Amino acid sequence: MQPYAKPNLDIAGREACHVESMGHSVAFSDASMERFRHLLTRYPNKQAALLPTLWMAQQEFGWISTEVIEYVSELLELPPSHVYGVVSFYTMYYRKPMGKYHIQLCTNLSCMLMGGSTVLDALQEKLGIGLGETTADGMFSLDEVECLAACEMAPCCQMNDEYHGPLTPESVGRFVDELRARGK
Amino acid sequence: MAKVKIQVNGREVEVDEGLNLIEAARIAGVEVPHFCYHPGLGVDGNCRQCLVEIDGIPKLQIACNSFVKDGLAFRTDTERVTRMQAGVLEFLFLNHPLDCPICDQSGECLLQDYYISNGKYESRLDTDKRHKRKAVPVGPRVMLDAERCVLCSRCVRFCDKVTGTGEMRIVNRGNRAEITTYPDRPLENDYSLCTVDVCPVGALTSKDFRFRKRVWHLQSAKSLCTGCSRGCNVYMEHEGGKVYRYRPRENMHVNDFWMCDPGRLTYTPLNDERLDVAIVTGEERTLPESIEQVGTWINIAVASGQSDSVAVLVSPQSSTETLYAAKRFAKDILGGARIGGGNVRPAGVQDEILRRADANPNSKGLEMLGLSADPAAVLSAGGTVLLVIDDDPLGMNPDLAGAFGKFEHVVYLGSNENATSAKAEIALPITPHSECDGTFVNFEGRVQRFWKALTPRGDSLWSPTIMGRIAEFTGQEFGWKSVRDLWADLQKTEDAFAAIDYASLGEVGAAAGSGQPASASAE
Amino acid sequence: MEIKRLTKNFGNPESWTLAAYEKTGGYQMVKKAFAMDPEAIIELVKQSGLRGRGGAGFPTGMKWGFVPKQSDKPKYLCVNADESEPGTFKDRYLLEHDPHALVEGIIISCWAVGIRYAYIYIRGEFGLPYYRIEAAVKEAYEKGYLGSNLNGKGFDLDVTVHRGAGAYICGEETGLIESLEGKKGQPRLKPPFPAVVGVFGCPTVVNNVETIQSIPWIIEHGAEEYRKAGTEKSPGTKLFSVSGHVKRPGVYEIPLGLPCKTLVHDLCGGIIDGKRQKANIVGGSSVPILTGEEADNVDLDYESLAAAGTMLGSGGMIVMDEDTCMVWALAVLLKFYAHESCGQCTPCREGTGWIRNLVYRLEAGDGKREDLDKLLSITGNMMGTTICVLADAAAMPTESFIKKFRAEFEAHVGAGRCPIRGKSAHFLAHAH
Ligand SMILES: Cc1cc2nc3c(=O)[nH]c(=O)nc-3n(C[C@H](O)[C@H](O)[C@H](O)COP(=O)(O)O)c2cc1C
Ligand code: SF4
Ligand code: SF4
Ligand code: SF4
Ligand code: FES
Repeated sequence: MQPYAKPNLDIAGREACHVESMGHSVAFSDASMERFRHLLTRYPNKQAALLPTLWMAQQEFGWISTEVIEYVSELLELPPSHVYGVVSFYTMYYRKPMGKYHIQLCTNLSCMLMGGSTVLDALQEKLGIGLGETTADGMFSLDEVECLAACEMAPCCQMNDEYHGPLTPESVGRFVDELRARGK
Repeated sequence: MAKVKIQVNGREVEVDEGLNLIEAARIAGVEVPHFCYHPGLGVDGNCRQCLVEIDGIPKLQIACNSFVKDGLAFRTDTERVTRMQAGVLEFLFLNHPLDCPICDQSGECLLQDYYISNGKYESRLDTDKRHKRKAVPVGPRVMLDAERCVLCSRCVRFCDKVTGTGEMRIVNRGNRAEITTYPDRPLENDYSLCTVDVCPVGALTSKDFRFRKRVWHLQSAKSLCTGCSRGCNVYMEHEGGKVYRYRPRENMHVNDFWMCDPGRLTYTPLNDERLDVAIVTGEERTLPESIEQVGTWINIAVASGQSDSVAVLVSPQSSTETLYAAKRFAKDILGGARIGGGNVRPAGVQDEILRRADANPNSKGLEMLGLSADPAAVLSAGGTVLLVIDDDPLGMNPDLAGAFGKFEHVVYLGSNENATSAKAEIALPITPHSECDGTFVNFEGRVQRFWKALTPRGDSLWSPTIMGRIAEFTGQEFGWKSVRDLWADLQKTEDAFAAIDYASLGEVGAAAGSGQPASASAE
Repeated sequence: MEIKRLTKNFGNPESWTLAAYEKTGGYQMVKKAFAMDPEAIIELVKQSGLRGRGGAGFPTGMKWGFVPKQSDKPKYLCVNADESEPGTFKDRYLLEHDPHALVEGIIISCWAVGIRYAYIYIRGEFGLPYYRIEAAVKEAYEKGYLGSNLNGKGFDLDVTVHRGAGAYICGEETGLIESLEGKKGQPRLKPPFPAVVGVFGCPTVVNNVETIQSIPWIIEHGAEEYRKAGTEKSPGTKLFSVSGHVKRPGVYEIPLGLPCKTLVHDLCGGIIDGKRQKANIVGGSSVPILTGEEADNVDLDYESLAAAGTMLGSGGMIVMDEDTCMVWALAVLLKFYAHESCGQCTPCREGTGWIRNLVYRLEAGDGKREDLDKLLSITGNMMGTTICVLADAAAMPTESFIKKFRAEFEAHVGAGRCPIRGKSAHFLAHAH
């Protein structure tokens, strides 16, 4: 690990914000289309439905690929660059495939005061991956996250949309084992 | 518009109500440094460079989003303002590559300007710089260096608000923010080079201009684009007798701050394949002897009462002055020659922004001078002398060769070597709009000036002068020494121009036929 | 010591359901409010002295008063449930345990201000709170508490829960508005203020969850009763989220003006392992830090905290014990601000990253002595120069950390590692 954050690598020749391709086009299922139409009735214009539409897309397609960006921009009549800008601004739209269980450990102050970094070390060792990575079997992805508003259970993490805490280096080991069993 | 009195650095000035403090300061001769504000793109308030101190407000305010009202007083010269402005600039340098020696923008970069007037820190910037993309072609005409970008969002707002195409975007947040296009959606709208103009630094540069010239060598003249009948106002930038580029010049009546990409490239004939000496049957000749030859033919026609055997083919590519001189030549000198001309250029693209389908800068001038736009009537039946002025009718429409062949002599007055000059028995070099003063009338009837930028190439002369010299062989003359002289006559003899005074056209031109004195719309 | 007004239903069985809520008198205050003149409700809220609980503490009644009475355009309410200020988690409790109280508060507030549409902007990470508030809104629609003609006299109200997607800055009210409009959550220039030009170009009220949830209580008990808790200038109760090195972290509803000492040492059981309180950030990570001693001598109300050089903020209290390294703690916080700056204003975009890198370097023991003054000078250039106050929120704590714990910062210079923790942290750039 680096002693302190180095600037990102030279990205000449790559996109400013990397979004991967799924390799095929996408379209909402009929049920999702129904939900999408309902969504539009909740806002005075189409653009306002962008965040919820991206959420729906992520739920249905797993992550936000270039194809998803283009599909959503067509649905909402927005330039793809606008959707791209929005996707890149928020942390929760995945721009590459993620593991079945996405564990995000809070590394803000309250959690770090309560031993967050030892939990992080234990998790990395247990999973054998670093931050921003996914296990080879596609089961786990690991990330850090800013304060989850759950500091009373520090150190805590978010696993998909559930919160878990307080964690210890031992308890996360058990937690990972449970998930692995659940995921099989 | 209502006026209000304000004080800028203690000096009282009167300005229009509603102006922001950057514009108001400019009127008072004070430059407030700024990156994101642009009069054509509105206020965004992101760069924070324009901080000023307004009387009665404890916090510094951004000048771009503060507006004048009567009695308002603000300062740009206090210690606090200077310190904070230097602070903002220092932030901009934190992740800036400082590659001015190899940057195209060098010499017209706001960062560089403000650095010289304000900055002096560098030594404090000892943390690693962030790296971003360099030398990326973001479109067919524009190159991007994201490290130089100050994230002012001007290019983004241009593509969102002016063209509505939305190609440019700032992605990511915090200091990871970076300017880009969406992958595979290049910046290729018809106005993409305006992003280069609005970019205050060297992040967006023109491929056409990149590395060709250090900008501080360039001189600039006020001119007009001749690419279509809009007549966008431009700066013609040149050096060593060569035009290097057009940059749009503000005219809120015509083109606001913009021009189209195809229009920008229309300067090349001003440099290339120029006809700069007289050519007689394929041989270079001196101008006087060539003119004498034409004068002799014309005199014979006049003297033998065969004026109607002479035809003058004019073009909506010509300046108003050329057209007027040609008209006087045909009607007064020859007294009865055929004259007319028309659009030989294929119609171009028309859009909702600036571009007009009519690819000629002066169709309206032709119409206002009452000249027929039908070349057939002029050319039919042939005759002794055909005088072809400007453009390249044969090149554009080879079918005209037959009609040309029915004249004993074909004389061409033009600025470029082309199919028409090649076919003409005599070709005489006249100055293009880079080498003389003059006017075009745009599609809306706005009479606009262009200014002489360069000394005439080779033997080239102003076309009314050449026509005057030819006329001398018939014992007549125009007596015009300058555009002003010509205009004095033009105003007297042409009803459509009666209300327009050349002297008061100013930089923004005047609407013909508005019935108002021209000075009302000149600024 | 605790006064349970907004937290009174916490712990009731299935407190988040409509049935449970109605059992405890839920939605009765809507009826009472509909019988009142909207103006009278605004007046009542003014008299109660309720101040916004999102962080800025702006008087709620006054904010509502800024909204034009007559408007050609519909008016909007945005409930700020973005709760992202480090150390703050009280809105999560309110949403999880008593979501119907929020819906009831929304109905009353909208009636008072003449609002047609309300959005609840909830942070994207919230799972359970999101499902609970979604379910509550659905139940409220089914029961006819929301929808059209709610009072029999043509009052219509639609409420939509809108999920954020991971960005602290969407808690800033105009960042929230931009995000709601389907854009990046980049705060807007003010003026114009949201009360006049807000979401979709319409007059808009933005209020925190806790603020709105206080409204039904005020309707029920009146302004005078409301003021019985708290101090003259800081009336009412406030939810504090307490975390860090205390024995019983959690959400505590206390009367404003309660001594900080009581909250930390009595309600929360004091410092873990009986250690000394070295420092306390009382109002969320964006407020200046207090030393343990200062914290033990301050009362928790707007005025006392201002006098102590800090702020009440969101009431997210982070307590640090004697073993905590202050340089490390600041580095952790600056990692957050650099990550969350929306990136539009130069001083914030560049400044947050710069001071973070300098503090990382100090923490690692690689810093230089002049870095401390450099930091203070940079923060000086960040404050008061930006569109929103995120830049100040990063700069103020930095200043206060260095000023109050300067010796600790100096001890790191040239030490090659953190002299307190004996090692250096491994700060990572965010994967995103
Ligand atoms: C950077 C920043 C983040 C903020 N985050 C929140 C937040 O998460 N929740 C919140 O209610 N207010 C937040 N605020 C305050 C809001 O801008 C706004 O003042 C508040 O929602 C108004 O509601 P209130 O008057 O009821 O407090 C934030 C402000 C700033 C500058
Ligand atoms: S590329 Fe130029 S115009 Fe565009 S945001 Fe960057 S500095 Fe501004
Ligand atoms: S719109 Fe016409 S006049 Fe303007 S720049 Fe383009 S071609 Fe030239
Ligand atoms: S201060 Fe920071 S977060 Fe706020 S608007 Fe400016 S850049 Fe964005
Ligand atoms: S010009 Fe005013 S903030 Fe950029």
